[in-house]
Amino acid sequence: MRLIKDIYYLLLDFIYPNKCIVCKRFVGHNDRSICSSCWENFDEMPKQNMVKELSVNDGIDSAFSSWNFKNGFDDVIHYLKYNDMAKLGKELGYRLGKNITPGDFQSIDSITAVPLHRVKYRDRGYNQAEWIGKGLADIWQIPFDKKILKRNRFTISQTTLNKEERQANMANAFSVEKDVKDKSILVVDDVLTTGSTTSACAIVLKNAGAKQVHVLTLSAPSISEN
Amino acid sequence: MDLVNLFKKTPLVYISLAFIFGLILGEFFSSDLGVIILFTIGLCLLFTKKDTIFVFGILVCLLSFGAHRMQTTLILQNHYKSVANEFHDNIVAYQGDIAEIKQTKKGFKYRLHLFDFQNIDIWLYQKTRLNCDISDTLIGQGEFQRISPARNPGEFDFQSFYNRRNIYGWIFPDKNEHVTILKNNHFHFGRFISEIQEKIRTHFNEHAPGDAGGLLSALILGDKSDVAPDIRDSFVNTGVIHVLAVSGLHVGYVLIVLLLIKNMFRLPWGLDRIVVILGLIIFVILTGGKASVIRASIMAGLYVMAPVFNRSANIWNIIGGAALGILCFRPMDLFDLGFQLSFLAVGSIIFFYNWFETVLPDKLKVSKISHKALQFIWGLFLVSLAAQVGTLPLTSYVFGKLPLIALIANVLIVPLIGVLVGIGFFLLFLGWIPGMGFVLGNSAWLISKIITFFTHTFSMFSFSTININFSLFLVVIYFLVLGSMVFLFDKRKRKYGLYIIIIVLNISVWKWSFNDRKLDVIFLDVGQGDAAIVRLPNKKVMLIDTGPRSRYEDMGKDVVLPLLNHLGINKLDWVVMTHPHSDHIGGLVSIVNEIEIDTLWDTFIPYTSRTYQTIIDFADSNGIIINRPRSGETKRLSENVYLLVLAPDSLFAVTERNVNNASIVFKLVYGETSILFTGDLEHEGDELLIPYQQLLKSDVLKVAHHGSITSSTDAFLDLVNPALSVISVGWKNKFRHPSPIVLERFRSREIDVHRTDLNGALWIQSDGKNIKEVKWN
Repeated sequence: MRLIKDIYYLLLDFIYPNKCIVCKRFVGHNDRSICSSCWENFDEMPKQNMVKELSVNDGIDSAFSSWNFKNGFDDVIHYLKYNDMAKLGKELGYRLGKNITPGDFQSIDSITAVPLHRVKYRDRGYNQAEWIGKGLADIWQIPFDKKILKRNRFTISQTTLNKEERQANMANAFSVEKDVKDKSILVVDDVLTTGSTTSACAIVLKNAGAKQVHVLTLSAPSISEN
Repeated sequence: MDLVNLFKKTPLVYISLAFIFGLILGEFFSSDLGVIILFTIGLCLLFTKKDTIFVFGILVCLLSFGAHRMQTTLILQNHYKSVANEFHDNIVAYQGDIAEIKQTKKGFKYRLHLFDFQNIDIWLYQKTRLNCDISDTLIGQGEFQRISPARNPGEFDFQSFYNRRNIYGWIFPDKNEHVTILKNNHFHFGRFISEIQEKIRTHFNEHAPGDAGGLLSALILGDKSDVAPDIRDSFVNTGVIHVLAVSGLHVGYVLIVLLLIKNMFRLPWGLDRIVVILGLIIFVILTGGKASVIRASIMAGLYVMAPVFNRSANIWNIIGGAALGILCFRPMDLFDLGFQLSFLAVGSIIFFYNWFETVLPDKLKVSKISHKALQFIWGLFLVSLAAQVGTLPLTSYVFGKLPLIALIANVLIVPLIGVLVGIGFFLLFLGWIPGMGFVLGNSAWLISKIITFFTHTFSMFSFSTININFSLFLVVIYFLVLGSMVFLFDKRKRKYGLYIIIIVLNISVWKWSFNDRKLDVIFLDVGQGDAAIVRLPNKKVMLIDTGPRSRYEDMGKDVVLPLLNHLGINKLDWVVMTHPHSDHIGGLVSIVNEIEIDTLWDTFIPYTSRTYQTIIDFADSNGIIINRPRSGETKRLSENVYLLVLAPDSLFAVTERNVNNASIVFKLVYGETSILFTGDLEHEGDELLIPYQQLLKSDVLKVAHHGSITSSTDAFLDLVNPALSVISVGWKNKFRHPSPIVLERFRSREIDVHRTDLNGALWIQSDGKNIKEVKWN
């Protein structure tokens, strides 16, 4: 088995040389797309519940994030979102799941991802948050259900909006499609900025009877800079 | 260690290069033992712990694979070639399955796969369309002809071209020869595809009016036969003919369409690219598996599959992979112009486009231009320029022409072609909807009208093409200079650029001082007729006769001019009309209109044919000097080349009723070497030359009158006593030249005979001391 795997990676590396997506140096004959020195270079955030620091946190019980949106991690997110690299999401999910464990939350029954609107989904071909969630579910052995939340409305890009505008933008954007009564749901996304998106998700989940809603993202801009 | 990293970056590039070198090695050396030794060495190197040596091991192994692949292919091909030579000109019985049906100018040709005979293919010629289809079996009898190799230097080599496709000959059925057709009632993939192609073609022709139907068939099926010849010519003259030959460009457009379709299917990520892969495979099959389409499709396929393996694709590595993939299965494609142009084009687009982006001032960088439309046009221009920079030496080496207008034309035509391809696909899938077909068909018509308007307009500019000819030497110099430029712009690598320039200068000086002292003589194969080109050491050119012209053929236009183009000759200093028969001067009618002539040599004999009169009138009105050399004159052509006129004796020529005996006969002398040109002189004329005695002695003799029994008397041959004689004669001509008796005269004197009907043109070169043959094919 080991031999087959070695041969597989050897052949794969001939066709697609495995270069680190951040520093473009060789990663080696394996599944990883980011080299270990780049991982070390990323700015890891202190493991703490940052729900209090979010500008919008209604409905969220706890929020965790793992890496600062700098030192090359911004490139990683860009790759994940715009380069058709869905599997990178899973890889990052594994890594995230090792950094932050289920024990850091009060309880988790089910994992879901912030959904993409279907137009955007069609353009991109995948939902990067969903793939992060799959990675987490694999490593934590907790069920992942992408169909808990549904996006009803096309929302404009959040990047240029301020806090109030973001909240207004997000109102009634989501609905709950599954039974979440008395369950603790973990909502996964790639980047956590003001919290308005995840908070909108949390509110509808809570309204549908969810016991707890937790948020986990790969990255967040450093709080101090925010 | 550095080497290993370089290898790791784009392993397939180095692997495919090693394989290609192996193929080239196999072309020149055929040693099984060599391959085994090479492979063993490579294998041994693989068992070391040192990475550098391991990489060398891989490369050496691939080198040996390549050599082996080429050797086995060549052995097979040479075997088939010798079989074809063996059956050449014989009546044969054939039985084969139809693999391809094509319409030609004179009728139809059927590609038959002869299962029972060596597994080779042949073209079966038929005047009319038989009631049969692909995969049906045809049985009959006919005359077998091997595919003729190139007849003259620079001519397209149909023999290699067809042999690469496993086609080794033609069969021409006798008159009234009956062909038995055995229908195949089972499913056959090839027939299925051809039926689909036919349906698409009729669909296009039904819906798209005017030229649009033909253009769409060319763009989407890769079949140019429906495009009107004048449109094709205008595309050629503007340098955009490549858009009509399905290539990587079209795969690009198909890819855009497929990516749009992919997202419509809402398949889960990863599976969704099956749509793209399937679409590409269908496109490759529909367009007949051309190297450029396969190349681009492999590249596109590898590109979209990369994320499935959580990797990103390196464009150079993918190019290497595509080359390796194609050459493994079809090693002979390496010598295919389409293959070479395709890889050269994509490589230079990627390389030079990126290079432009780094060296151009910021204002001119595509990525820095904010105006969207301007950015698009400028980007397209740079892509077109980048493609031209890389392919220029090859195209001008092959075609001898450089369409200057191509740069601008491409910028306009390429996007329009893209729009047309898009419309074509919509028409293909939605054309059955009433109204939709009409709208799409007419918009296709409009776009094709705009395209042909542009190409016609552009091709009218006289400056749109210039004739330049790259020798192999110049091609190398060109790439070296290009390479040095790239290095010179890079501050860190500037010294490499200087090294290259020094090398280039060295080579040029060396070449200049050694190579320019040669006299070239090419006896052309113009069928039944005469033509020879003499290029003096000082590059002045004499053309001796010009080949025939008839209602069916014009050797001046079809053979002499292309060869002059190929040799980069823009001016003829002397044109000798040995005598005014049309098989000697017919071709001149076309030549005088195309190329500048300084002096025309003519005989004394009055002659009244229309061909002759046309030429003389043209000369008179265009200030071409007409000379009438007579026997005994010596003409100095250059510093060290002179010419001794032996005939005509003016008196004899005028009184003689046989025009052939008025022929201008002269001996061309360069140093110690000499060549005797005799026109169509017959034995009456021969006799008059006898008094010249030892002066007649020549190294090479252009045999008089195509080897007719009426010429080349024993006495004359004894005096000339050449080592080599050339008979310029047409295959199976109606005069039955050359005469076996004359051939016997040469044989008994042990004089080598070169017959243009059997061996094509002869190119000889003299350095003043020795004459040697130049291999041109």
